[in-house]
Amino acid sequence: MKTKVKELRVRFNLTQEQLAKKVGVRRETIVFLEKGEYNPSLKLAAKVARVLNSTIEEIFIMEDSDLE
Amino acid sequence: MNNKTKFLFLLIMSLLIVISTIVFSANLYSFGNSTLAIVLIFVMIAIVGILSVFIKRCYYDLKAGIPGDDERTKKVRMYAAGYSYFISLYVWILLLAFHRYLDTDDLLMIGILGMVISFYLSWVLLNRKKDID
Repeated sequence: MKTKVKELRVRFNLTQEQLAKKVGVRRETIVFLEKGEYNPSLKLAAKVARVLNSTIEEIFIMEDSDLE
Repeated sequence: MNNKTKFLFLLIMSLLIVISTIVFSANLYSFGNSTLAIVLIFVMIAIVGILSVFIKRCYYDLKAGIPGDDERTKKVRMYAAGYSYFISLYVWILLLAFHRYLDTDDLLMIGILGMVISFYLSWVLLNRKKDID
């Protein structure tokens, strides 16, 4: 899974800790999300999208291989 | 359990472990069993050392206002519990196979210790793992 979490976070001038605090998760979870190494729940994905003023589809890009 | 409760719980637990070990070791020492008293002190230092890592983490989270648990940590804990359950089954089977060579007290202590260690190791390994779905 590809994500634009880091790109958008930097654009919004937020640190990982600040984003974690706004979303209500631990900083490590943000690290894993940025690397695309964690599939968030729909609720968490929506929260991240809302904080980064974007949509889930724009932030979390699922490729065909991810859906197999 | 929120961060503040967790922090206080760990702090009180550590203090109780330190105080009770010191009292118990002093009693052992007065009865002439100084070797066991020293071993107990070292075990206490090891346990409090491990607990201090969690206390430190809890304190920083509390200070930064970051939640102690989120959906990923809950998932990791759930998976770790599942893995440790299966590992524990094998530990108990192994212990039952060698029950002739162990006292009942030792058997129970080793079994429970095996369960605790298997959970802790599973948790440490899964916490670093990618793609926990």
